Amino acid sequence: MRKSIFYIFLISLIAGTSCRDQFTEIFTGNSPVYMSYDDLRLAISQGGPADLVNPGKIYFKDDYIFIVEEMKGIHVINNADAANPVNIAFINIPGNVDIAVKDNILYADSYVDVVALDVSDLSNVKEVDRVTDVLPYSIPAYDTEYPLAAIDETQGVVVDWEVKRVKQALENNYYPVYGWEDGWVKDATNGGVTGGVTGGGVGVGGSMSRFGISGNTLYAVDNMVLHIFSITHPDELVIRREFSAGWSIETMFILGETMFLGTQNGMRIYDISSDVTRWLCGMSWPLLPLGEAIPAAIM
Amino acid sequence: MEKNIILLLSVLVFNVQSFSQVPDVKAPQDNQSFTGYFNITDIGVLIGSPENAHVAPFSFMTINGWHVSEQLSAGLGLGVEFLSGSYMPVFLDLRYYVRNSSFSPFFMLDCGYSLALDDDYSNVNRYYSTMPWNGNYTVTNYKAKGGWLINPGFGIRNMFSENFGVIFSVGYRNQRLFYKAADDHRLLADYNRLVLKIGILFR
Repeated sequence: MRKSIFYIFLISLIAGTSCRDQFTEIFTGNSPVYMSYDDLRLAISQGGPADLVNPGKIYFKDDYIFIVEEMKGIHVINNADAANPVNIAFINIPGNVDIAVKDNILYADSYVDVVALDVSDLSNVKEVDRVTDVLPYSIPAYDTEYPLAAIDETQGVVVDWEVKRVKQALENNYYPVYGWEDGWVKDATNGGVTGGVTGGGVGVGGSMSRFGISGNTLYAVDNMVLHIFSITHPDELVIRREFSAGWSIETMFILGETMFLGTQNGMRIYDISSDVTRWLCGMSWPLLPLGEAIPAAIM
Repeated sequence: MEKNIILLLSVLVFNVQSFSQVPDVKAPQDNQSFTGYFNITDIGVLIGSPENAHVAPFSFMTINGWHVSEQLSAGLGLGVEFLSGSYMPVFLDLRYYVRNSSFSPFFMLDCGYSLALDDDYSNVNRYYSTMPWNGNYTVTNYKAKGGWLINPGFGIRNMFSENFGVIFSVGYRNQRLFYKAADDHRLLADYNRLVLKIGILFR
Protein backbone atom coordinates (compact mmCIF):
# COMPACT_ATOMS: atom_id res chain seq x y z
CA MET A 1 0.00 0.00 0.00
CA ARG A 2 2.80 2.41 0.86
CA LYS A 3 4.45 1.58 -2.43
CA SER A 4 1.21 2.33 -4.24
CA ILE A 5 0.93 5.68 -2.53
CA PHE A 6 4.53 6.40 -3.43
CA TYR A 7 3.93 5.56 -7.09
CA ILE A 8 0.75 7.62 -7.23
CA PHE A 9 2.65 10.52 -5.68
CA LEU A 10 5.46 10.08 -8.20
CA ILE A 11 3.08 9.99 -11.16
CA SER A 12 1.30 13.07 -9.80
CA LEU A 13 4.57 14.90 -9.52
CA ILE A 14 5.58 14.07 -13.09
CA ALA A 15 2.17 14.89 -14.50
CA GLY A 16 1.88 18.00 -12.39
CA THR A 17 4.99 19.45 -13.90
CA SER A 18 4.26 18.41 -17.48
CA CYS A 19 0.47 18.71 -17.80
CA ARG A 20 0.32 22.28 -18.95
CA ASP A 21 -2.91 23.60 -20.38
CA GLN A 22 -2.68 24.69 -23.98
CA PHE A 23 -4.71 27.45 -25.54
CA THR A 24 -5.19 28.03 -29.25
CA GLU A 25 -6.90 31.02 -30.76
CA ILE A 26 -8.43 31.21 -34.20
CA PHE A 27 -9.22 34.56 -35.73
CA THR A 28 -9.10 36.63 -38.88
CA GLY A 29 -5.97 38.73 -38.62
CA ASN A 30 -2.87 40.17 -40.21
CA SER A 31 -0.63 37.22 -40.94
CA PRO A 32 3.01 38.17 -41.61
CA VAL A 33 4.70 37.54 -44.96
CA TYR A 34 8.40 37.07 -44.31
CA MET A 35 11.61 37.76 -46.18
CA SER A 36 14.51 35.74 -44.83
CA TYR A 37 17.52 37.57 -43.45
CA ASP A 38 19.68 36.07 -46.19
CA ASP A 39 17.36 37.42 -48.87
CA LEU A 40 17.20 40.78 -47.13
CA ARG A 41 20.97 41.11 -47.34
CA LEU A 42 20.92 40.42 -51.07
CA ALA A 43 17.90 42.56 -51.87
CA ILE A 44 19.43 45.94 -52.59
CA SER A 45 19.28 46.67 -56.28
CA GLN A 46 18.82 49.55 -58.63
CA GLY A 47 16.09 49.96 -61.16
CA GLY A 48 14.66 52.56 -63.45
CA PRO A 49 12.50 55.43 -62.22
CA ALA A 50 9.34 54.45 -60.40
CA ASP A 51 6.19 56.32 -59.49
CA LEU A 52 5.93 57.73 -56.00
CA VAL A 53 3.25 55.73 -54.22
CA ASN A 54 3.83 56.22 -50.52
CA PRO A 55 6.65 58.73 -50.20
CA GLY A 56 8.31 59.36 -46.87
CA LYS A 57 11.48 61.25 -46.02
CA ILE A 58 12.99 63.67 -48.47
CA TYR A 59 16.69 64.49 -48.56
CA PHE A 60 18.57 67.05 -50.58
CA LYS A 61 22.16 66.53 -51.64
CA ASP A 62 23.80 68.73 -54.23
CA ASP A 63 21.76 68.48 -57.41
CA TYR A 64 19.80 65.47 -56.28
CA ILE A 65 16.73 64.82 -54.23
CA PHE A 66 16.35 61.47 -52.53
CA ILE A 67 12.79 60.55 -51.60
CA VAL A 68 12.10 57.50 -49.49
CA GLU A 69 9.35 55.19 -50.74
CA GLU A 70 8.21 53.93 -47.38
CA MET A 71 9.61 50.47 -46.61
CA LYS A 72 10.56 49.96 -50.26
CA GLY A 73 13.53 52.10 -51.23
CA ILE A 74 14.61 55.47 -52.53
CA HIS A 75 13.58 57.54 -55.52
CA VAL A 76 16.42 59.54 -57.03
CA ILE A 77 15.41 62.85 -58.58
CA ASN A 78 17.83 64.96 -60.61
CA ASN A 79 17.13 68.51 -59.50
CA ALA A 80 19.87 70.27 -61.49
CA ASP A 81 17.10 72.16 -63.20
CA ALA A 82 14.86 73.03 -60.29
CA ALA A 83 12.11 74.02 -62.66
CA ASN A 84 12.18 70.61 -64.26
CA PRO A 85 13.20 67.84 -61.82
CA VAL A 86 13.68 64.45 -63.43
CA ASN A 87 12.97 61.13 -61.76
CA ILE A 88 16.00 59.12 -62.83
CA ALA A 89 16.23 55.96 -60.70
CA PHE A 90 14.84 53.87 -57.90
CA ILE A 91 17.02 52.04 -55.39
CA ASN A 92 15.34 48.99 -53.87
CA ILE A 93 16.04 48.88 -50.13
CA PRO A 94 13.52 46.72 -48.25
CA GLY A 95 12.44 48.25 -44.97
CA ASN A 96 13.91 51.65 -45.67
CA VAL A 97 12.52 54.57 -43.71
CA ASP A 98 15.36 57.04 -43.34
CA ILE A 99 18.56 58.11 -45.06
CA ALA A 100 21.58 60.37 -44.66
CA VAL A 101 24.32 61.24 -47.10
CA LYS A 102 27.98 62.10 -46.63
CA ASP A 103 30.17 62.73 -49.63
CA ASN A 104 29.31 59.96 -52.05
CA ILE A 105 27.99 57.53 -49.48
CA LEU A 106 24.31 57.18 -48.71
CA TYR A 107 23.40 55.60 -45.39
CA ALA A 108 20.02 53.93 -45.07
CA ASP A 109 18.20 51.63 -42.73
CA SER A 110 16.97 48.33 -44.05
CA TYR A 111 14.79 46.78 -41.34
CA VAL A 112 17.30 45.73 -38.67
CA ASP A 113 20.37 46.67 -40.69
CA VAL A 114 22.10 49.91 -41.61
CA VAL A 115 23.68 49.96 -45.06
CA ALA A 116 26.18 52.22 -46.77
CA LEU A 117 25.70 52.72 -50.52
CA ASP A 118 28.13 54.31 -52.92
CA VAL A 119 26.03 56.72 -54.98
CA SER A 120 28.88 58.38 -56.85
CA ASP A 121 27.53 56.77 -60.00
CA LEU A 122 23.75 56.87 -59.84
CA SER A 123 23.53 54.47 -62.74
CA ASN A 124 25.45 51.90 -60.72
CA VAL A 125 24.72 52.15 -56.99
CA LYS A 126 26.79 49.73 -54.94
CA GLU A 127 26.47 48.47 -51.38
CA VAL A 128 29.82 49.09 -49.72
CA ASP A 129 29.12 48.17 -46.12
CA ARG A 130 26.41 46.92 -43.82
CA VAL A 131 25.96 46.63 -40.07
CA THR A 132 23.53 43.83 -39.32
CA ASP A 133 21.04 43.45 -36.48
CA VAL A 134 21.68 46.88 -35.09
CA LEU A 135 18.24 48.46 -35.30
CA PRO A 136 15.12 47.21 -33.57
CA TYR A 137 12.78 44.86 -35.38
CA SER A 138 10.25 46.92 -37.30
CA ILE A 139 7.09 45.98 -39.12
CA PRO A 140 5.24 47.58 -42.02
CA ALA A 141 1.85 49.21 -41.61
CA TYR A 142 -1.03 46.79 -41.29
CA ASP A 143 -4.79 46.81 -41.49
CA THR A 144 -5.79 48.03 -38.04
CA GLU A 145 -9.25 46.59 -38.49
CA TYR A 146 -7.72 43.22 -37.71
CA PRO A 147 -5.44 42.02 -34.92
CA LEU A 148 -1.87 41.02 -35.52
CA ALA A 149 -0.86 37.40 -35.68
CA ALA A 150 2.21 36.43 -33.72
CA ILE A 151 5.49 37.26 -35.41
CA ASP A 152 8.36 34.81 -35.47
CA GLU A 153 11.41 37.03 -35.80
CA THR A 154 13.63 34.04 -36.53
CA GLN A 155 11.90 33.59 -39.89
CA GLY A 156 13.07 36.94 -41.16
CA VAL A 157 11.59 40.40 -41.51
CA VAL A 158 7.95 41.15 -42.24
CA VAL A 159 7.60 42.60 -45.73
CA ASP A 160 3.83 42.37 -46.06
CA TRP A 161 0.64 41.24 -44.39
CA GLU A 162 -2.03 38.86 -45.52
CA VAL A 163 -5.45 39.08 -43.90
CA LYS A 164 -6.59 35.52 -43.35
CA ARG A 165 -7.71 33.04 -40.70
CA VAL A 166 -4.94 32.55 -38.21
CA LYS A 167 -4.58 29.66 -35.80
CA GLN A 168 -1.90 30.13 -33.21
CA ALA A 169 -0.94 29.13 -29.72
CA LEU A 170 -1.98 31.58 -27.06
CA GLU A 171 0.56 32.10 -24.32
CA ASN A 172 -0.58 32.52 -20.77
CA ASN A 173 1.17 35.89 -20.65
CA TYR A 174 0.15 37.16 -24.03
CA TYR A 175 1.42 40.62 -24.77
CA PRO A 176 3.40 40.57 -28.00
CA VAL A 177 5.86 43.45 -28.03
CA TYR A 178 6.70 43.72 -31.66
CA GLY A 179 8.64 46.89 -31.27
CA TRP A 180 8.65 49.95 -33.23
CA GLU A 181 5.67 50.44 -35.45
CA ASP A 182 4.46 53.25 -33.25
CA GLY A 183 7.60 55.24 -33.72
CA TRP A 184 9.92 53.87 -36.31
CA VAL A 185 7.53 52.97 -39.06
CA LYS A 186 4.62 55.26 -38.48
CA ASP A 187 6.81 58.33 -38.72
CA ALA A 188 7.46 57.49 -42.31
CA THR A 189 3.78 57.00 -42.86
CA ASN A 190 2.95 60.33 -41.35
CA GLY A 191 5.29 62.24 -43.62
CA GLY A 192 5.37 65.77 -42.34
CA VAL A 193 8.53 66.54 -44.21
CA THR A 194 9.89 70.02 -44.48
CA GLY A 195 12.39 71.35 -46.97
CA GLY A 196 16.14 70.98 -46.77
CA VAL A 197 19.19 72.85 -47.86
CA THR A 198 22.30 71.78 -49.59
CA GLY A 199 25.41 71.55 -47.51
CA GLY A 200 29.09 71.26 -48.11
CA GLY A 201 29.74 67.62 -47.40
CA VAL A 202 26.62 66.59 -45.59
CA GLY A 203 23.02 66.83 -46.68
CA VAL A 204 20.30 67.98 -44.33
CA GLY A 205 17.22 65.95 -43.61
CA GLY A 206 13.71 67.13 -42.99
CA SER A 207 12.34 67.60 -39.51
CA MET A 208 11.19 63.99 -39.29
CA SER A 209 14.68 62.65 -39.81
CA ARG A 210 15.98 60.02 -37.46
CA PHE A 211 19.33 59.78 -39.16
CA GLY A 212 21.84 62.53 -38.78
CA ILE A 213 25.49 63.11 -39.57
CA SER A 214 27.93 65.30 -37.73
CA GLY A 215 31.56 65.25 -38.78
CA ASN A 216 32.67 61.65 -38.94
CA THR A 217 29.73 60.31 -36.98
CA LEU A 218 26.41 58.93 -38.12
CA TYR A 219 23.62 59.04 -35.58
CA ALA A 220 20.50 56.89 -35.82
CA VAL A 221 17.85 57.15 -33.18
CA ASP A 222 14.90 54.87 -32.63
CA ASN A 223 12.18 55.27 -30.06
CA MET A 224 14.63 55.13 -27.18
CA VAL A 225 18.14 54.28 -28.24
CA LEU A 226 20.73 56.42 -29.96
CA HIS A 227 23.02 54.36 -32.17
CA ILE A 228 26.33 56.02 -32.95
CA PHE A 229 28.38 54.92 -35.95
CA SER A 230 31.83 55.99 -36.93
CA ILE A 231 32.13 56.94 -40.60
CA THR A 232 35.67 58.24 -40.53
CA HIS A 233 36.08 56.20 -43.65
CA PRO A 234 32.71 56.87 -45.28
CA ASP A 235 32.52 53.45 -46.88
CA GLU A 236 33.11 51.74 -43.53
CA LEU A 237 30.29 51.68 -41.04
CA VAL A 238 31.52 50.95 -37.54
CA ILE A 239 29.13 50.87 -34.62
CA ARG A 240 30.76 52.87 -31.88
CA ARG A 241 28.24 52.84 -29.08
CA GLU A 242 24.58 52.82 -28.23
CA PHE A 243 22.78 54.33 -25.30
CA SER A 244 19.31 55.10 -24.10
CA ALA A 245 18.54 58.67 -25.08
CA GLY A 246 15.04 58.98 -23.68
CA TRP A 247 11.51 57.85 -24.28
CA SER A 248 9.15 58.25 -27.23
CA ILE A 249 11.72 59.95 -29.42
CA GLU A 250 10.22 61.06 -32.70
CA THR A 251 12.69 63.33 -34.45
CA MET A 252 16.35 64.20 -34.61
CA PHE A 253 17.95 67.41 -35.76
CA ILE A 254 21.62 68.24 -35.68
CA LEU A 255 22.77 71.85 -35.59
CA GLY A 256 26.51 72.20 -35.45
CA GLU A 257 27.64 70.29 -32.40
CA THR A 258 24.25 70.08 -30.79
CA MET A 259 21.71 67.35 -31.31
CA PHE A 260 18.02 67.96 -30.68
CA LEU A 261 15.77 64.99 -30.09
CA GLY A 262 12.08 65.73 -30.28
CA THR A 263 10.00 63.47 -28.05
CA GLN A 264 6.31 63.26 -27.37
CA ASN A 265 6.81 65.27 -24.17
CA GLY A 266 9.42 67.80 -25.13
CA MET A 267 12.93 68.09 -26.42
CA ARG A 268 16.21 66.65 -25.27
CA ILE A 269 19.42 68.41 -26.23
CA TYR A 270 22.78 66.70 -26.48
CA ASP A 271 26.28 68.04 -26.88
CA ILE A 272 27.96 65.96 -29.56
CA SER A 273 31.14 68.00 -29.83
CA SER A 274 33.24 65.13 -28.53
CA ASP A 275 33.19 61.38 -28.51
CA VAL A 276 31.37 61.48 -25.23
CA THR A 277 27.85 62.58 -26.04
CA ARG A 278 26.62 64.69 -23.16
CA TRP A 279 23.05 65.35 -22.26
CA LEU A 280 22.69 69.08 -21.78
CA CYS A 281 19.07 69.36 -20.84
CA GLY A 282 15.79 67.96 -21.81
CA MET A 283 12.12 67.45 -21.57
CA SER A 284 11.64 71.18 -21.97
CA TRP A 285 7.97 71.94 -21.86
CA PRO A 286 6.35 73.73 -23.45
CA LEU A 287 8.40 73.42 -26.60
CA LEU A 288 10.16 76.51 -27.78
CA PRO A 289 8.05 78.49 -30.22
CA LEU A 290 9.19 78.07 -33.77
CA GLY A 291 11.91 80.54 -34.68
CA GLU A 292 12.70 81.55 -31.11
CA ALA A 293 16.34 81.47 -30.12
CA ILE A 294 17.43 78.73 -27.78
CA PRO A 295 18.20 80.27 -24.40
CA ALA A 296 21.89 80.60 -23.77
CA ALA A 297 21.45 78.85 -20.44
CA ILE A 298 20.95 75.53 -22.16
CA MET A 299 23.58 75.94 -24.81
CA MET B 1 -6.59 -1.12 9.27
CA GLU B 2 -6.04 0.75 6.03
CA LYS B 3 -8.82 -1.14 4.36
CA ASN B 4 -11.16 -0.26 7.22
CA ILE B 5 -10.36 3.41 6.89
CA ILE B 6 -11.05 3.25 3.17
CA LEU B 7 -14.29 1.42 3.82
CA LEU B 8 -15.33 4.03 6.36
CA LEU B 9 -14.57 6.90 4.01
CA SER B 10 -16.34 5.17 1.17
CA VAL B 11 -19.43 4.53 3.21
CA LEU B 12 -19.52 8.14 4.32
CA VAL B 13 -19.38 9.30 0.74
CA PHE B 14 -21.89 6.73 -0.27
CA ASN B 15 -24.31 7.78 2.44
CA VAL B 16 -24.17 11.36 1.28
CA GLN B 17 -24.89 10.23 -2.23
CA SER B 18 -27.75 7.91 -1.36
CA PHE B 19 -29.29 7.04 1.98
CA SER B 20 -31.78 4.72 0.48
CA GLN B 21 -29.40 2.12 -0.81
CA VAL B 22 -27.64 0.53 2.12
CA PRO B 23 -25.04 -1.96 0.93
CA ASP B 24 -25.58 -5.59 1.73
CA VAL B 25 -22.47 -6.30 3.74
CA LYS B 26 -21.81 -9.93 2.99
CA ALA B 27 -18.36 -11.34 2.69
CA PRO B 28 -17.28 -11.45 -0.93
CA GLN B 29 -17.16 -14.91 -2.45
CA ASP B 30 -14.40 -16.04 -4.76
CA ASN B 31 -16.90 -17.59 -7.11
CA GLN B 32 -19.32 -14.65 -7.13
CA SER B 33 -20.66 -13.40 -10.39
CA PHE B 34 -19.84 -9.89 -11.57
CA THR B 35 -22.51 -9.65 -14.23
CA GLY B 36 -25.46 -7.29 -14.23
CA TYR B 37 -26.13 -3.69 -13.27
CA PHE B 38 -23.61 -1.58 -11.39
CA ASN B 39 -23.09 2.00 -10.29
CA ILE B 40 -19.80 3.73 -9.72
CA THR B 41 -19.77 7.12 -8.03
CA ASP B 42 -16.43 8.76 -7.64
CA ILE B 43 -14.80 12.03 -6.71
CA GLY B 44 -11.35 13.25 -7.56
CA VAL B 45 -9.13 15.95 -8.91
CA LEU B 46 -7.74 16.80 -12.34
CA ILE B 47 -4.13 17.59 -11.56
CA GLY B 48 -2.10 19.80 -13.85
CA SER B 49 0.99 21.93 -13.87
CA PRO B 50 1.25 24.58 -11.14
CA GLU B 51 1.54 27.09 -14.00
CA ASN B 52 -2.08 26.46 -14.93
CA ALA B 53 -4.80 28.79 -13.80
CA HIS B 54 -6.74 25.91 -12.27
CA VAL B 55 -4.20 23.53 -10.81
CA ALA B 56 -6.44 20.77 -9.51
CA PRO B 57 -10.13 21.30 -10.17
CA PHE B 58 -12.68 19.03 -8.54
CA SER B 59 -14.46 16.26 -10.40
CA PHE B 60 -17.55 14.30 -9.44
CA MET B 61 -18.97 11.53 -11.60
CA THR B 62 -21.51 8.78 -11.43
CA ILE B 63 -21.66 5.90 -13.89
CA ASN B 64 -24.54 3.53 -14.38
CA GLY B 65 -23.70 0.50 -16.45
CA TRP B 66 -23.89 -3.17 -17.14
CA HIS B 67 -21.36 -5.93 -17.00
CA VAL B 68 -21.30 -7.26 -20.52
CA SER B 69 -19.26 -10.18 -19.22
CA GLU B 70 -17.54 -11.09 -15.98
CA GLN B 71 -14.60 -8.87 -16.85
CA LEU B 72 -15.98 -6.29 -19.27
CA SER B 73 -18.40 -3.50 -18.41
CA ALA B 74 -19.97 -0.61 -20.25
CA GLY B 75 -21.78 2.34 -18.75
CA LEU B 76 -23.08 5.82 -19.25
CA GLY B 77 -21.58 8.51 -17.06
CA LEU B 78 -22.64 11.91 -15.90
CA GLY B 79 -20.83 14.37 -13.69
CA VAL B 80 -19.84 17.85 -12.83
CA GLU B 81 -16.39 19.43 -13.07
CA PHE B 82 -14.92 22.88 -12.57
CA LEU B 83 -12.24 23.72 -15.10
CA SER B 84 -12.46 27.31 -16.33
CA GLY B 85 -16.13 27.14 -15.45
CA SER B 86 -18.69 24.52 -14.58
CA TYR B 87 -19.12 21.60 -16.97
CA MET B 88 -21.24 18.50 -17.08
CA PRO B 89 -19.42 15.59 -18.72
CA VAL B 90 -21.62 13.04 -20.44
CA PHE B 91 -19.61 10.01 -21.47
CA LEU B 92 -19.39 6.35 -22.31
CA ASP B 93 -17.40 4.30 -19.80
CA LEU B 94 -15.69 1.03 -20.73
CA ARG B 95 -13.80 -1.09 -18.20
CA TYR B 96 -11.87 -4.29 -18.44
CA TYR B 97 -11.17 -6.10 -15.17
CA VAL B 98 -8.03 -8.18 -15.26
CA ARG B 99 -9.25 -10.73 -12.71
CA ASN B 100 -12.60 -12.23 -12.13
CA SER B 101 -12.33 -11.77 -8.39
CA SER B 102 -13.25 -9.31 -5.67
CA PHE B 103 -9.85 -7.65 -5.87
CA SER B 104 -8.90 -6.81 -9.40
CA PRO B 105 -6.93 -4.24 -11.34
CA PHE B 106 -8.75 -2.80 -14.30
CA PHE B 107 -8.25 -0.66 -17.36
CA MET B 108 -10.77 1.95 -18.33
CA LEU B 109 -11.64 4.36 -21.11
CA ASP B 110 -14.06 7.28 -20.92
CA CYS B 111 -15.11 9.14 -24.07
CA GLY B 112 -17.70 11.83 -24.29
CA TYR B 113 -18.59 15.48 -24.31
CA SER B 114 -18.55 18.10 -21.57
CA LEU B 115 -21.52 20.42 -21.68
CA ALA B 116 -20.92 23.99 -20.52
CA LEU B 117 -23.01 25.00 -17.52
CA ASP B 118 -21.60 28.54 -17.37
CA ASP B 119 -21.98 30.84 -20.32
CA ASP B 120 -19.27 33.45 -20.11
CA TYR B 121 -15.54 33.34 -20.15
CA SER B 122 -13.56 36.53 -20.51
CA ASN B 123 -10.08 35.97 -19.18
CA VAL B 124 -8.14 36.50 -22.37
CA ASN B 125 -6.78 39.85 -23.45
CA ARG B 126 -6.24 40.53 -27.12
CA TYR B 127 -3.67 43.13 -27.94
CA TYR B 128 -4.13 44.97 -31.17
CA SER B 129 -0.98 47.00 -30.99
CA THR B 130 2.58 46.54 -30.02
CA MET B 131 2.94 48.29 -26.75
CA PRO B 132 0.94 46.93 -23.83
CA TRP B 133 1.30 50.19 -21.96
CA ASN B 134 -0.54 51.95 -24.74
CA GLY B 135 -3.63 50.25 -23.42
CA ASN B 136 -4.47 49.37 -26.98
CA TYR B 137 -6.11 46.07 -26.27
CA THR B 138 -9.51 44.59 -25.77
CA VAL B 139 -10.89 41.97 -23.45
CA THR B 140 -12.90 39.46 -25.39
CA ASN B 141 -15.99 37.94 -23.91
CA TYR B 142 -16.41 34.35 -24.97
CA LYS B 143 -19.28 31.99 -24.64
CA ALA B 144 -18.30 28.52 -23.47
CA LYS B 145 -19.49 25.84 -25.82
CA GLY B 146 -18.16 22.67 -24.15
CA GLY B 147 -15.96 20.11 -25.80
CA TRP B 148 -14.84 16.54 -26.24
CA LEU B 149 -13.12 14.49 -23.59
CA ILE B 150 -11.12 11.29 -23.59
CA ASN B 151 -9.87 9.66 -20.42
CA PRO B 152 -7.91 6.41 -20.46
CA GLY B 153 -6.78 5.06 -17.12
CA PHE B 154 -6.28 2.15 -14.83
CA GLY B 155 -7.18 1.33 -11.27
CA ILE B 156 -8.05 -1.18 -8.62
CA ARG B 157 -11.42 -2.55 -7.59
CA ASN B 158 -11.79 -4.03 -4.15
CA MET B 159 -15.17 -5.53 -3.27
CA PHE B 160 -15.96 -5.60 0.42
CA SER B 161 -19.14 -7.53 -0.16
CA GLU B 162 -21.05 -8.99 -3.07
CA ASN B 163 -22.68 -5.66 -3.67
CA PHE B 164 -20.29 -3.06 -2.42
CA GLY B 165 -16.73 -2.15 -3.16
CA VAL B 166 -14.31 0.69 -3.52
CA ILE B 167 -12.44 1.88 -6.57
CA PHE B 168 -9.21 3.78 -6.98
CA SER B 169 -8.22 5.00 -10.39
CA VAL B 170 -5.49 6.98 -12.08
CA GLY B 171 -5.96 8.31 -15.57
CA TYR B 172 -4.99 10.83 -18.16
CA ARG B 173 -7.60 13.31 -19.29
CA ASN B 174 -7.55 15.26 -22.48
CA GLN B 175 -10.35 17.76 -22.37
CA ARG B 176 -10.87 20.17 -25.22
CA LEU B 177 -13.09 23.13 -24.53
CA PHE B 178 -14.38 25.42 -27.20
CA TYR B 179 -15.15 29.12 -26.74
CA LYS B 180 -16.83 31.43 -29.19
CA ALA B 181 -16.75 35.24 -29.24
CA ALA B 182 -19.32 37.52 -30.77
CA ASP B 183 -16.98 38.20 -33.70
CA ASP B 184 -15.17 35.42 -35.53
CA HIS B 185 -12.66 34.89 -32.75
CA ARG B 186 -12.52 31.36 -31.40
CA LEU B 187 -10.59 29.87 -28.55
CA LEU B 188 -9.65 26.25 -28.00
CA ALA B 189 -8.45 25.16 -24.59
CA ASP B 190 -6.76 21.78 -24.26
CA TYR B 191 -6.52 20.54 -20.73
CA ASN B 192 -4.09 17.70 -20.21
CA ARG B 193 -4.55 16.43 -16.71
CA LEU B 194 -3.70 13.58 -14.43
CA VAL B 195 -6.91 12.26 -12.91
CA LEU B 196 -6.87 10.81 -9.41
CA LYS B 197 -10.14 9.37 -8.17
CA ILE B 198 -11.67 7.40 -5.37
CA GLY B 199 -15.12 5.97 -5.67
CA ILE B 200 -17.61 3.42 -4.55
CA LEU B 201 -19.14 0.64 -6.56
CA PHE B 202 -22.38 -1.07 -5.79
CA ARG B 203 -24.56 -3.48 -7.63
